Amino acid sequence: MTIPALRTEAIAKSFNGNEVLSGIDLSIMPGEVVCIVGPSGSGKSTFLRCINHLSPATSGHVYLNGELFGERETAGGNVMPLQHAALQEQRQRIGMVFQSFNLWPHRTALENVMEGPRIVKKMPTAEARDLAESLLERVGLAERKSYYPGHLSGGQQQRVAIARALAMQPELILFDEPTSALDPELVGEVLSVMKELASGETTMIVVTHEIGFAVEVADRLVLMDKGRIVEDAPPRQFIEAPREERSRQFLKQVLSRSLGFSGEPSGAILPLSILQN
Amino acid sequence: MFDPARLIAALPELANGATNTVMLTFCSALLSWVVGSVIVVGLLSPVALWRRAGRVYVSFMRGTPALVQLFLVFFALPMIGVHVPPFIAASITLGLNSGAYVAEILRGALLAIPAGQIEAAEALGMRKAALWRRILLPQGIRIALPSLTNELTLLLKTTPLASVVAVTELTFAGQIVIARTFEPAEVLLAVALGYIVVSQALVLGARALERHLAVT
Repeated sequence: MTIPALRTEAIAKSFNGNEVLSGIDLSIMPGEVVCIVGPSGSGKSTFLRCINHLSPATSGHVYLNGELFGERETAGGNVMPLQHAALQEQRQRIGMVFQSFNLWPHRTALENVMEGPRIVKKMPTAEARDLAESLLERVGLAERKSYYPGHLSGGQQQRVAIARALAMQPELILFDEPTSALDPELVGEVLSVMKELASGETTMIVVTHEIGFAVEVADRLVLMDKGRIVEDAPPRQFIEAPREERSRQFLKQVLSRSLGFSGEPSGAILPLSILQN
Repeated sequence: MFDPARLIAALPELANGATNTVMLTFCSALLSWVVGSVIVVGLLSPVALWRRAGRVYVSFMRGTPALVQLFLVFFALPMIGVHVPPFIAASITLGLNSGAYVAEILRGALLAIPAGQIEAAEALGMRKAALWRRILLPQGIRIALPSLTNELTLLLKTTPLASVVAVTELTFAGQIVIARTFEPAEVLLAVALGYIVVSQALVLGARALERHLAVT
């Protein structure tokens, strides 16, 4: 049996006694693409941040390719948080793309992408440069490599951020609402880069509001609500025969929203098959 | 009557004072940046004790006159057997004093760096040292530079305090000349001009640095 690329075990998270996540169990096989959808405040982003310990879970564990992540087992059998340096060692194996890109404004696109391999992995500069250039080319930004983030559009910045995550050659990439901060006309260019990744070997967890994209590229569609996983199914099954009433309700809301007032679908890449259901 | 010849005769003396002023500013500024950097690490430390120590330092330095601090270093230290030459005592006092302000400037600058940039570095697996060296300091300096320049010009104008421990800096040199020539107006104007020249040089240098660091 193959070991999951990522497995979370009963991830729970509270902020000041407010429970945001109530025991999330999720497994992702290598190469799989899982899209997490759900209403705002359902805990999707918090769950992603718990995975790479940007915001450590209150309880529960994360396993990366079978290995306990961000924690270690003591001789006595207790589980303790890792020291920061050891955590940073492990974090190199999980990439993350943020809603607000979070590029470093004092470094060019190329330097942003080179930073990880060069500084974290101690790769020789020339090699890091070659790697970064080829990745920028892959996301269609070869000719913008010496631009500073401030001189790039949101879509371009997010593509640089994706290249920056790829540069670490992670075992898994987390996407935290990668298109939510973008102007509508820039969403497509980012989604098409992600589609290209999804069709390859990249293991991805994508928190998104782009249902159409999720249906098209995901191997599994996960609906989260109130800190729990409501439904976890292949997209077609999710849309055509959701098991849970809450999923039907969610789909209905999403569909009515994307139809808009004019009656025309405004979510351009929403497959028609959803509408016919 | 104004006699330019007598002012010109006094110029070497004033130039000597100006040199001391520049030296004093330079030494205390260097110290203030080192002290400020150390204190800001304390102010932002996750350890409560370091934060408290940093705050006590800043409160003391901001809450007492620099003149009193200078007296403490120059007159009180010898009582416990530590003798400090005047120039060194003045440099240390002004550096320690300005360091408190520099620490607060740096604190503000570091807090102004968006959290997302630190998270991006964390998520990438960057260690603390690299995070400081590669992200926090380069950006913090850019944000802090205008305020640091401001603080530097204030420091320059605090250097006349050193005259009370007999460092012949520009203002004191001027006073000596006035005592001999009884020409306060001309001498003081020359002294003021000296400060303007030095502060303008500092400001222009800082501007050039700002332009050099600007992200365009």
